[in-house]
Amino acid sequence: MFFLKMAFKNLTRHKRRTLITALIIAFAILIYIMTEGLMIGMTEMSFNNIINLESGHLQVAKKSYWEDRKELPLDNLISPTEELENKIEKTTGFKAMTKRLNFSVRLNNGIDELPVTGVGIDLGQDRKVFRLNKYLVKGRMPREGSSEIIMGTKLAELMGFKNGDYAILLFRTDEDTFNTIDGEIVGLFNTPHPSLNESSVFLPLSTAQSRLNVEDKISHYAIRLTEQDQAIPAAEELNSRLKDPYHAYSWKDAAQSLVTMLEMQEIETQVILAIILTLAAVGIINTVILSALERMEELGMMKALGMHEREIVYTFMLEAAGIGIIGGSMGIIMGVIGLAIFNINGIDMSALTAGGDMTYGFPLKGTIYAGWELNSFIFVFLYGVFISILASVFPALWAARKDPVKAIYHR
Amino acid sequence: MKFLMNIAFKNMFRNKLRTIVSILAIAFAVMIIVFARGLIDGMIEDTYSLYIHYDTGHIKIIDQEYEQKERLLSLQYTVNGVGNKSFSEMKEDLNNLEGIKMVIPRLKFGAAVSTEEELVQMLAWGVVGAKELQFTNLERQLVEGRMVKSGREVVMGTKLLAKINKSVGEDVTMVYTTAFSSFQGATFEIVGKIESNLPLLNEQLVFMPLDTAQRLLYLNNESTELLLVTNNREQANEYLPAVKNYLEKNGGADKYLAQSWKNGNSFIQLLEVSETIYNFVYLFLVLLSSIVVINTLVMIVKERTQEIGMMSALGLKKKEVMLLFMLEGSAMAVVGSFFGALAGGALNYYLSGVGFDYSAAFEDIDVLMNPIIYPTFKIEHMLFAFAIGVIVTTLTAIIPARRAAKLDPTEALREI
Repeated sequence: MFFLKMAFKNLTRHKRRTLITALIIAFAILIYIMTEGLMIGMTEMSFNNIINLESGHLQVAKKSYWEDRKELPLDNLISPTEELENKIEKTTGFKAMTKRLNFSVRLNNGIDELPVTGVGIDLGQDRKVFRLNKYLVKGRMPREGSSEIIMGTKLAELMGFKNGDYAILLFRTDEDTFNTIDGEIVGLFNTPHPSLNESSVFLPLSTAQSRLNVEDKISHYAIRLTEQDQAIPAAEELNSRLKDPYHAYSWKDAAQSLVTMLEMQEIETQVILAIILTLAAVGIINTVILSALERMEELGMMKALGMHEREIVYTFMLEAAGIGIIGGSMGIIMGVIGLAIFNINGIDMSALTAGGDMTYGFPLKGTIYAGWELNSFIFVFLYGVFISILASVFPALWAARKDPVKAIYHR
Repeated sequence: MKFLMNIAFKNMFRNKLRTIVSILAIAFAVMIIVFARGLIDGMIEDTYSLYIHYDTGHIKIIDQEYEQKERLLSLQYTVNGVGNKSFSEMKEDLNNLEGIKMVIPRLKFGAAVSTEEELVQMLAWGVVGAKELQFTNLERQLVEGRMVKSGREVVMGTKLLAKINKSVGEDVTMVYTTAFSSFQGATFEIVGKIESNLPLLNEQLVFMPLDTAQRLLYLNNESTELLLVTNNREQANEYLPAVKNYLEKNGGADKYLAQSWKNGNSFIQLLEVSETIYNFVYLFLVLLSSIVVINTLVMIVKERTQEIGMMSALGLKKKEVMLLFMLEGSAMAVVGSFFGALAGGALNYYLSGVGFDYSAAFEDIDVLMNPIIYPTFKIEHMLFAFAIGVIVTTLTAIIPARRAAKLDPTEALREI
């Protein structure tokens, strides 16, 4: 307690110096909190977009299909069986499931052609898993058994389509022959998932199946659970019951490259934090050395009166911890204010990308908001304090080891 | 002045430990700046040249409508001569404009190869092989065979070849839609293989001779774009008016759009903005490290109050006292920045051979960027970081130096 008091009093001896050194730590923490907040915000929105529009919480497909699913093949499809569906329904937290058939399509407007992804959807079930219908800006969802289609406004604009126009879908069937669908565009959607807007066409599952000659086969099941966090354990649980070649994949598996990208970003944020905190550490070392130099005579006297070296080191460490706590609190307060400002206004992605539609791999667009996470606040605060204490150990040892006689006779 | 410098220099050694710590702080910040600049420069330079080579040229001429429809690879909006001048006359005229070194026509269209299981989509470019080799760095990436010359031959990326299960020397049949919207096919011989880090080259592109592409698509003497190459990419904007002027004089100003590479892609604009932002970030880093120097100087001023009092009593002017402390601060800055710049340079020199692999993170990103980033080693970065370190630290040293200058000699002498 005595040392605590002394450290506190020492801190107030040079208020300006204490404050300035604390400021370096504050900045490190501020920058960390802001970038982390932004990343959390973008991550959450991206994941939500992927779950709500692309993959659902879980997907069940054949292993061999999953590996080249990006090529949109028509082999290794699933023939739905009651047995398989029953197994899926028994998953803990199961809410709904739907069937989807993805295939490669060339969209033709009579002049130009564009390769896009065709998605056959089970109209009755799809809305229970995905939120596509919520983003319809014009028209309605297609009707079962018809050759009605819906597409993104962006894609329609590019191809010069309006609601009510007919678009030609050209594709290769399972028997390697070409077939077409004259699709009537009955709805246009504008989702926050850019690639969905730009390169997907949705149509009723039964129509897709009959035109592709795949009978009742589908490419995968998409499953919605009650909670997002259940997805990974649920996938494991389901996999223990599913027999080869079937396999369940969580949304994290579906968004694998996004997850890798986020991990890289996370490392980058950590590196920046480490750089600034290293600077802060040098600042702390400097402060402790300066304080020690100033108090050399005092230290000598205290040692002569019987204070142990260890106790002197403690005092300096406590002082450094004080600086860390002041800096950490300032940083967190500034960071929270900064994030609040971000969240009141939101960040317009299109302004960030100079008006373009570039997304840099993030499946999101429009205005984004930063996220909050108490854990990251606590982590960075403790980290700052820890670095401060660590940095003070060596200069404190250096100061404490001075010979009391020489220290008193300092000048 | 020399006298003051002498004192400042000697003062630096009065307490070596604290001087070293201050120097270390600056050195560290300067080193980080050199490294960061090298890394960012490595990334940006590479990206710029990729965009210039495979997208925008130095100046790009396209039909105005084509800008919107580029993604469709539409063949309806081509470059096909200007006014009464034919396509080849137009190319010739542009080539004769001052500063234009080369005119590169490209005819881009969508094609597909049907394999046993699926239809592999690809992006076909009708090009003049010799010009492409001269302009881009394709030569280094051609790992097998040669570039296309004439006739029915194609060059493809390694991954694309693997996808369609073919190798160099074999024939491949491609299907495509002509300018009259008819669906046709033709057989080509694969004469070369490209291996590149760039997904565009490795798994999407197929090169074929321009005249072959023109004949197949019924687009004789037309291309989807013309890229103009100047001597130096920085001069592209200077030569742009002459190009625009030429188009206008021949009545092509309404039809064509000529733009410099800097405006050619929003990603390039974004990179330019971020370059400026990074310069401020560097400034900020040095400011943080100069806090350490300020702290040290504040203490030095306090420690030497009596000395300052005595010196001013003996006739040293206020300005000179201030200069004395600034000199001491800048001496630390010079030493710190020097070692920092050296260390940063060494780091970049080493890393420029190793590189950072970002391939996993770049998989789904739709920009032209080499996924392995090699920091560049340039003396320029070291000089920049050195200068910023010295200037910022010296400027911040004014704060404690002014405090020293403000001391009243009588008061200062009395203080113990």
